Amino acid sequence: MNLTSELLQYILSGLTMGGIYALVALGFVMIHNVTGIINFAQGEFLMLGAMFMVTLLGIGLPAPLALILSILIVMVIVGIMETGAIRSAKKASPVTLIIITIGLSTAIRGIALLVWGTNPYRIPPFSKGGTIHISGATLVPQSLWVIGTTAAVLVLTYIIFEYTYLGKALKACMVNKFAARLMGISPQRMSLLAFMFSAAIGALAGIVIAPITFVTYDMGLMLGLKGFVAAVLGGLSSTTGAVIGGLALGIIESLGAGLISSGYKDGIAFIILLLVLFLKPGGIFGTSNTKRV
Amino acid sequence: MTLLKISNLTKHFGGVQAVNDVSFSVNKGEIVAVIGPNGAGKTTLFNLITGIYPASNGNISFKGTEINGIAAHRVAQLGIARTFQNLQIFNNMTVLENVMVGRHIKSKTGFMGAILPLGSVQHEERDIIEKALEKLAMVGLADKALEEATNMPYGQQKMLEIARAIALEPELLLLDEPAAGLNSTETRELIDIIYNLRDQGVTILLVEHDMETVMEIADQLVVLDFGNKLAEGTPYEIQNNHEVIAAYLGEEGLEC
Amino acid sequence: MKDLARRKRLRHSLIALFTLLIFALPFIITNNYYLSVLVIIGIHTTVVVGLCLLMGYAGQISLGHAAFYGLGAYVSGILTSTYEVSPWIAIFVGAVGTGILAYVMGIPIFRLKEHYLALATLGLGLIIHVIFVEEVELTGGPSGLSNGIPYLSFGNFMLNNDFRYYFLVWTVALIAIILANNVVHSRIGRALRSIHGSEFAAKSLGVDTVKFKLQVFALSAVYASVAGSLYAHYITFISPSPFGMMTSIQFLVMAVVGGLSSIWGPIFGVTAITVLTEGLKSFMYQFFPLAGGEYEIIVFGIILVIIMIFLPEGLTSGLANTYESWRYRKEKADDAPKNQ
Repeated sequence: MNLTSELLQYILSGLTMGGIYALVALGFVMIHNVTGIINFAQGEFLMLGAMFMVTLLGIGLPAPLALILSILIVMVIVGIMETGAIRSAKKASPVTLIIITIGLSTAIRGIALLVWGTNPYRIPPFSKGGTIHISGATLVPQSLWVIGTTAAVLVLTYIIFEYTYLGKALKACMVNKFAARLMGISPQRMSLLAFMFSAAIGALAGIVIAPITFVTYDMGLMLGLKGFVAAVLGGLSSTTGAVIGGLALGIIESLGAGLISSGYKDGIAFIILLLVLFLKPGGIFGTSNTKRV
Repeated sequence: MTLLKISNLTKHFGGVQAVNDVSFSVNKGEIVAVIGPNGAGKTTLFNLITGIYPASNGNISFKGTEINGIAAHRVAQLGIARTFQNLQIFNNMTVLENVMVGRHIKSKTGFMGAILPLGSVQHEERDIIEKALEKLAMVGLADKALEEATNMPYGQQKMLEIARAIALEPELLLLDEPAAGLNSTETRELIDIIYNLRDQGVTILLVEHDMETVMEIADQLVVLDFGNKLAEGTPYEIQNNHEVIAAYLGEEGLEC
Repeated sequence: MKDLARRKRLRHSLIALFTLLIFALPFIITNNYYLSVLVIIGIHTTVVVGLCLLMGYAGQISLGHAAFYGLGAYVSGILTSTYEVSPWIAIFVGAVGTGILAYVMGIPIFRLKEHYLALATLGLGLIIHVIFVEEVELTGGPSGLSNGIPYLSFGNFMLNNDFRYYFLVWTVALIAIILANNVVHSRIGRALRSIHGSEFAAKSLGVDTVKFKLQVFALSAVYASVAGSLYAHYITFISPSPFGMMTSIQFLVMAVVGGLSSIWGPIFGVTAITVLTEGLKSFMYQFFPLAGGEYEIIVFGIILVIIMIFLPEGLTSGLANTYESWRYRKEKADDAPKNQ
């Protein structure tokens, strides 16, 4: 493979993972902007989505039905989590909240371990077909599904935010919680809504990436962490930033792994995290005076 | 002798002009009060002096040295102490321990000394406790020394903050609304404490809304409104200053 | 003054009593398995004491502390097995090196606030863990150090069994506790606690908050590093897996459960979690054969959530506070009739 096709390969696989990171980041940003919480359990939404898909397919449900049901189930679970755990801890300090979401993510992972065990599972790709070749680079069809889903979710999110009442209410909360309350928008309802919306996006992301990676009880950990890095990269305050951060992270990670060292692939994301936090905590799109002493 | 000199001090936050071209001086041994309607920029002024954030423009000179922009803890080391409008006592400590922290810059035990408390360290510890009790006695809280600070009533917590600030043995003491929330007995006690401090040589700069108290104790008044200095002078002069009255009571107030 | 002296004497007697108990234990408990659990508890206690200084007293947070634990282990392991350096020197080098690293990394980290600070510590911990895994030539990678790590020894007296190692580990743990206790009740301790209480007020009283945060961060890293070295010379084999994010969370849970602002918190927390984990292992295997391991993570997760919601000061402080407020209310009730 010559250099251009090699680069193209990295960029394409980077875009695939980047799409997932973007979706995770989107979920983070949504919850953070509406509630101020950093939701460490985000990655587990992906894992749950994929796991339920596996189980539902396993009992013979047709794929589209299984997909919708999986997403709904995850939304319900997360809704319960929000009402139960998160709401009771509302007045806690930001750091306590982080520890709580870390605890929740750990608990969810543990329960998944009990229910599904350590075995890796597989979900068949959404469409049949062999690898696609683009000037020397290869792509599996599922990658197109990932990229396509990411784009579709973005468009859908945009439409919901701009054209539906609930979406506008969510957006209002994200921009100015106090004013939103004055307008009669209940922050508790919005919090629940934000969580469930993020759960849906997360579950969908987990399902769509599952045919490419294995489905394991701990797949959410790394995906969640990296999605979080992507969100910070884009600036926790902006949904556009989240998406661009995700895609950027995916591509940088892929290029780094391919060109520099494949072992340090995971390290790349965390180094980016530290660099952003140290140099511009507000991320690419945020303001630079966020949370510094 | 001029202790504190504020020259053309300006601070804006984004588009908001919190303090605009303010100048005044505080002489050693004086009690100066900064007054003005809410939002006039008084607490911002305090934050600028104590180094919480730097000014956008202008100078702050303390004993001849420029202190604008230096770190807050350095300002304290130079001899300026303060209390806070919204009470910042240490809720995780006892009353005595709160004041003992006030002795921090007057003591020097470091990590090494803390780990292995030899004779001199223990001696310093006893000294710190003694001095802290002294300050608590000054504000009438000596018998509450071992109480948890968070269990004290509001009025006593305000006194605690003062005791803690004077444990620094500052030359200049900034009091941010010390009388707020105090009943008349407590306000009386506060005034006595302030006079006591002045007799001990402490210069006092305070922000206050309680006009009776201010008019009684202040040597000089500085009036701020919307970040600008409206007037400066003795209580009598300020009471008869038309612009000040207008700022506080509106144009109709002049009719009274 | 008298009251303070009395409290101090009480504290000292409790510590003395506890020391006696600890050193008497291995003569009572002869079962090797229990002894080894106690050794691990001792090692973890040292880490958590440092973590509590950072979190409970200074009010900061570290989500990556297992990395410092791992650095101590790896420095000791590598220097003694590959380079045949004296183990005691290696422990010292590890401690100093880790302390310096923590201090230096702390400079940008502690400029951040709240959750950004927490995440930076998480990121640091993750990066160090990746280095453990990837630098195969140095660390042996995922399969661990292949050359055996030697036992610690005092001259000819080798610390090669649980009984002997127990005394070393608990001596270190007790020193760690006593040192931490001294720091807490000193000018430094008050300065640290003032930072936790109100950083603005602390600064206004002349406390150099930045310097203190860095110092306590470095100290907590040194504690973890020494504990890690002890771990390496105990198991005589190390791989990256005990030094990852899960272990960092485990230390966090132990610190939180025990109570962040209490001297006895770390021991209590470590013991509670360790006992729970060990007990759970045998229980879980009987009922959930599909679960291959690490099911203690569920327990961590649930415990963490419950504690943080209902008893954020942890079990020891939380219970102590409940007792205190009960006593306070009782006193008030007793006072009332006299005021009539």
